[in-house]
Amino acid sequence: MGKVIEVNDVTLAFSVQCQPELEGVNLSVTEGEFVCLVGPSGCGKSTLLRLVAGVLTPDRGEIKVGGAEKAEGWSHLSFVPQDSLLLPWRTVLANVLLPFELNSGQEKKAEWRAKAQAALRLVNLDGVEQKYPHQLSGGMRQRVALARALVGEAEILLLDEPFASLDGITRSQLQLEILEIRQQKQFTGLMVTHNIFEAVFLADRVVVMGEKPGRMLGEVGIDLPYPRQLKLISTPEFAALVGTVQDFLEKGGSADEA
Amino acid sequence: MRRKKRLQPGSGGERAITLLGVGLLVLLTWSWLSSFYPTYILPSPSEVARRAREILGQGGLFALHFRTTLLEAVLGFGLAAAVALPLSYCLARHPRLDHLVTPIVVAMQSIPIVALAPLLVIWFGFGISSKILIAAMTAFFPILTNGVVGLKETDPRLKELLQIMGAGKRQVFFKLEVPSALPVLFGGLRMGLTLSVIGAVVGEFSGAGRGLGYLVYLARGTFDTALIFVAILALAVMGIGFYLVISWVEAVVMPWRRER
Repeated sequence: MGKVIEVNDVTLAFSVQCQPELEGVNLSVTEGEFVCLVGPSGCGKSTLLRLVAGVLTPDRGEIKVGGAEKAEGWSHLSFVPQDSLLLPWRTVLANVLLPFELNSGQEKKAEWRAKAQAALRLVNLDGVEQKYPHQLSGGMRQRVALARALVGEAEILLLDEPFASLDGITRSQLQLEILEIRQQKQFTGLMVTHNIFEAVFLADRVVVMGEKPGRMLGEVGIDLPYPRQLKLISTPEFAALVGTVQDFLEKGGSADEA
Repeated sequence: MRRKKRLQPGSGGERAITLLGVGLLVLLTWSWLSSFYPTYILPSPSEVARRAREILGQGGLFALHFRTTLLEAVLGFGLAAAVALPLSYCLARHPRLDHLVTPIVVAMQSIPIVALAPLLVIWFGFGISSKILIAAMTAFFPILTNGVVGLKETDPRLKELLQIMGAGKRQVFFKLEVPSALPVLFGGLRMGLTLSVIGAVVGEFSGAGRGLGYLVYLARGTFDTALIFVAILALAVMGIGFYLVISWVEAVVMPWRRER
């Protein structure tokens, strides 16, 4: 299993006066792995995701995605943002077709359509193809964003707090769906969240970040068995792992004040 | 589906009844008020209707005036849009150009078109070309400013997302920037179309041989107040026509806003 995301000693400052946003950050993700980044808000975890996505360049250090020096299009990676970011003037189907339109010629329309429909089925959306985003609930919109990210057969999925703006019930539904999709489809995942429970529930490995400057505090391997069910969160093993992550966060916080 | 929607409260049917009621009320009040004044100050509705029938009977004379103003407004609007839209794209794209040009635009905008109109008539003659120019200048600024604002409206997060998906500059422009500008852009076009009618009439006031504005000018000279009312009503009809046309175009171009 090769490494598909490699972040080596990356430092980034948005301006010279400020403290760097990220300092000496290292991270690697192997193929097929699902890694969650947790940390307090403002610790630069979303910035790290944008660096991996290739829309920011580091001041120092290097980032390798899919073996290449920099991210190049959806053949390598796709992105699920926090609040779906669907194009409001496109129907659900047209939104899911967008990655194809941006990356290949017009000739394979029928094939795209079939793939888009399959992606929508994968996220349990049926009969909403011709609806506009504003006609859907927040959870459904987020499902469309997920389908859009999955449709292009991207190897790497970057998720930026994808469930943060959803209500609790919808949130756990979608968490279960992510786990289920991982059973059906092979991809590498890097997800940012500030919810420790969510991170432990979904990830193979949880990476803990601290703030000011954004840096790595440690990581916790999550060796809970698949398939995972909701009742997992009431087991002592789960609680112990959450406790370990919590410890890293607290240690990081106290070191900062000292 | 659409027919069914029309019968629901708050849409077509109810609106028509409300309009009819308000119209009737205005007519009654007008008719009552007109009994206190001589015809050359306030003609009664029936007097206006009589005058309208009279001038419409004069072998296409009124239609000629109507067509002239219509043509001036439409061509003026077209000219304004043809210049303002590409310019707004340039200004939105190049902030430094925007910095240079915006003060000039603001300065020009603050010159009342009524003061410029006689000058343009002197330069470009009594014919339709000077009116088209005046109409275009009146319609120009809202189209330009809304175009710039609209094109700057793009959500930067969406732009970033499209770039992650592998979109090039051209694709970002056509698939993101243009569609997200459309609602604001159409606001400007709507305003510009209304203003172009005003511009055409102002131009005709400053010197013309035909057009509804010329008709008002003529009627004022002979105290033919009923004819002024006829011309005003014709301008209102033209305005409503423009409104309906642009609403239809909007619905075709932006189908996603229809089902809100």
